[in-house]
Amino acid sequence: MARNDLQGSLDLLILKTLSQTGELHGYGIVLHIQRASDELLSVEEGSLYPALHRMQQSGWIRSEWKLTDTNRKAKYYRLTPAGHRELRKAREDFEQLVKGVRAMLRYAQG
Amino acid sequence: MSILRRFANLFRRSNLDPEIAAELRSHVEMRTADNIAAGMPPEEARRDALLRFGNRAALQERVTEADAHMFLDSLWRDLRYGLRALRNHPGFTSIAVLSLALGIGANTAIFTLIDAVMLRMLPVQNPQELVSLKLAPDSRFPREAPDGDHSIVFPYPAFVQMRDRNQVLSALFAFRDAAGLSVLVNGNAEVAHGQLVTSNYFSSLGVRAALGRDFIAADDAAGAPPVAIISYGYWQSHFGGQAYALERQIVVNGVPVTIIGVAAPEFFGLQPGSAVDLYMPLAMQPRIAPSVAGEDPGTSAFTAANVWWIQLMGRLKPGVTPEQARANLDVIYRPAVLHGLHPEAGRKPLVPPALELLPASGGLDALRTAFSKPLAILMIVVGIVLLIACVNVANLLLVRSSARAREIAVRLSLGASRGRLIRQLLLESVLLSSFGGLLGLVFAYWGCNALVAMMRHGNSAVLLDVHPDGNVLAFTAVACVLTGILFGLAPALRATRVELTPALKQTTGSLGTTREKMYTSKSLVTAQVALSVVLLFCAGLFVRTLVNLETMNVGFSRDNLLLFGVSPKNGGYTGRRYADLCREIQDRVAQLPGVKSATSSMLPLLSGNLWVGNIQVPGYTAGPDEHTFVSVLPVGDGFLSTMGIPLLQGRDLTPRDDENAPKVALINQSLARKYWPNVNPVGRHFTLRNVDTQVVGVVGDAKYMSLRGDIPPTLYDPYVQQMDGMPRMSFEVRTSGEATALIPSVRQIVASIDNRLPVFDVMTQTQQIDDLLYQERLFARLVGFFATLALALVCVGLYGVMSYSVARRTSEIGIRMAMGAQHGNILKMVLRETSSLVGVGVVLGVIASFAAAKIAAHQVAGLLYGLKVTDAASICIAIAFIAVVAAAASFVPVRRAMRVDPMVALRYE
Repeated sequence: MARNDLQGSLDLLILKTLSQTGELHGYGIVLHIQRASDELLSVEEGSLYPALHRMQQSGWIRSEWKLTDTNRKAKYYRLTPAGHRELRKAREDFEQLVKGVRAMLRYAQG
Repeated sequence: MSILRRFANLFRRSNLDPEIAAELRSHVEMRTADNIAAGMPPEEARRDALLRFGNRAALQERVTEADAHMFLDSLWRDLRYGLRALRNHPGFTSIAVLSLALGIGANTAIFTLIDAVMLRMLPVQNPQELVSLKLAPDSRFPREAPDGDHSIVFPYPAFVQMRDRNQVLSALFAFRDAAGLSVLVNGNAEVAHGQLVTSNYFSSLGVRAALGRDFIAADDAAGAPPVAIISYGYWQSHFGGQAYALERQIVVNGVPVTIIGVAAPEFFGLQPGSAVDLYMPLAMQPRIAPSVAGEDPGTSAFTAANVWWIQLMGRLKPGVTPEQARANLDVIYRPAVLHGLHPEAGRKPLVPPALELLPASGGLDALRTAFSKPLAILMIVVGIVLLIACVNVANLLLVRSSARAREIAVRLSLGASRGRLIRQLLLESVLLSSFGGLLGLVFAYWGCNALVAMMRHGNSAVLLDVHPDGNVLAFTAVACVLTGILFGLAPALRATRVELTPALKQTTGSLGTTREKMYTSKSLVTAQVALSVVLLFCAGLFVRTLVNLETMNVGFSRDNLLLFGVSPKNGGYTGRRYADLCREIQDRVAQLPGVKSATSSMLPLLSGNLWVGNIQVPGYTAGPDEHTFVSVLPVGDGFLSTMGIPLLQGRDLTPRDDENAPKVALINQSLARKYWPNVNPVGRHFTLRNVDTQVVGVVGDAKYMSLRGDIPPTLYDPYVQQMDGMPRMSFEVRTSGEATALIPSVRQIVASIDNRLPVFDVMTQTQQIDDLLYQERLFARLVGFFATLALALVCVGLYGVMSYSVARRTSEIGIRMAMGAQHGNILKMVLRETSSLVGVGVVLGVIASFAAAKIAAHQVAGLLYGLKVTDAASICIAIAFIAVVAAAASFVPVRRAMRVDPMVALRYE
């Protein structure tokens, strides 16, 4: 599977969403990311589900079929302890990346 | 998602997971509902929701792929992890791999033999269509045949009738072995294995010629120029694979024969285990092998309906069942042989036995018949060895799993699922067993070569092509995976059932569930002991059988006796010249220094061959189903004295009993008891092959054909009085020293008399008996070897468990010693533990042995000799061996227990 540059950040967004909300289904994750990022980020459904399944295979998240508030069946995801660790790691990595890119941009300006 | 389904997804990605589809559907529905709530018309709301997904099928596929890919990815990671874990414990890994390699290697070796003997098909076209013809067993139908199995040969006229009139076979061909041909090739006199065949032999089998041409009908006609097709192997060994072999002449039993072709390389003949060197047209029988048919002088084996001598094989027409073919052939065969069954004097006319058709896709079944039972037993034996090896590895894994308990607890608490961990542990065990299997293949390769070398020994040589083919590799692969799961599953289940808190608190190792673990370990070792008792018992039975056979009284003296054979008939000797030649050889050998005496007989004793004759004794009436065949051995001068057979009554044969004198014979006690129960048989008369013969002496019973079974009624007559039909002559030389030292002089004498006569079967009588027992010896050795292997594995297992147990109890021992326990008490404590382990195992093993013996009694009894299947001595030997091994295995742990220093032990706590 080809890995795009945003792969890492998509994982981070999903992990963060789940750690904040406890458990959520795919559609809910899309809505949450949109809302929480002030509509700046929108997750494509086409990338979300492969990512969710890959993360589940890696043991970061667990899933369970449940009923939504509107009485619809949906698959809910939640973080595992490994997922929490992964979130911490992904977050550090991302911050390193942002720092690095910022430094790089500043250097280029100067 | 199950592992299986994940693999399935890899290969059938279009078959999408319904669960993924449901998840995506639920997403679309929620989006649609929200869109509607936001004011979109329902149609548009749904379209928008779907559009956001793009191509839904493609998405589903990507999700599935993510699953499958991740599965493989994690499998690869587990594999690397497993390899690292094995590499980090080289001691554990090497012991486990070696145990498994021995177990799997033994299984692969025996399976390779089974594959070669039982499973492999003949390298011919559509072998599954081939059938061989056979007569149903019928005790009223003993026929005189010079050698071999009487139920697989037919008269030539019956063959012609069946070939020409059947509607069920696309081909029917005949053949007859002519072993022991004297061949003059490249100036050397050698012995070759020939086969006389009908001209359609190769074309019916679909075997092409590697060089030259196939037989044509004109080759198989009386008076045709003698021709031969040689086997590929013979071509390679005698002509270096060079084309000049074609049109070369070789001399076969005195007849110049032209080589016209070479058979295909893969074709070794129809009998697995023996290779044919030369194929010649059946019509050459009267010139090449006049004795194979055993026809009466002056008649032809090709016209006589009462000479049973050729073997038949056919190819079924497509769509014809064997039973249809049998019925059709039976109708033709019965009338064709009926007038060949001349009724014996005073006996009812005989009914020919029914015809049977056997599938011949794997060739003739002689080897299969001989080996199927031993091979089945061996397969069970090596299966048990593998089981014992598995138990060893399972025990090692158990011990190791306590060392790994912390690692596993950490991983569990960090969110690894139990299934995932079990998968990981199982993967490690399959990895172990795969390494074991790879090494096992190497062992099996050596083992097979050693086995085949053993089987190639002597007269009863078995030439097998044992190479690991697809069957064997598949067998080994399956054995690896199954053993990996077998020994890995229990420890994996046990290891992942950890109580997290105590395990995490533990700093070194885990004592959390030790008691339970010890219990499992001990049960496993007990099972090992029981299994090895069964194997040792089995080995005891076969070894004792061999000893019984080897040390039995054969009725003559077997030591310092050299045997050799010549075939004067092949050199053109008949009648008086034949007799003179034999006498000259015998006399000149007898004068050699170191020779006490020499004699001759048609066959050596205990060669596995037999001559029989039909006798009529005046005043003796045979029962309705009783036959009057007795064993006959034509002998030369001094047979009794040289062989050491005692003369009990009457006189010995003398040189005066020649072809001009009245026909006389010596009879053994069994014959005397049967036909003259209460009178002195000396001086009585009987008819043998319609010739009046007088009994001149009674001799002690001696074994003739084989070691097993009762000694049959046997008579010894002077060979000079019946020169017809004696294909060969054997000479027996009694020496004062080492018999083999005389071999060069013996060869020299025969060569100086006639250098066209090859000397064959040169061996001592002891070697001859060894040859006869080679299957028993091979079998006893193999079972013994595997039992020893099992014992070694058990020794390792016991040692491991006892060491672990002592190590675990170090502090207990320390406390006991500090409280004043003597060394003796400690010794008693540890020994009690060992002996209870072994004792229970032995009791279970004895019960299992006797149960197995009872169940298999019918199958096994025929392989034993001189003992019952529940032989007490064998079980005692088994117990003794186990006791010694148990003592050896617990010696080091016991010594360690005795040396425990209370202070150190307590501080350790």
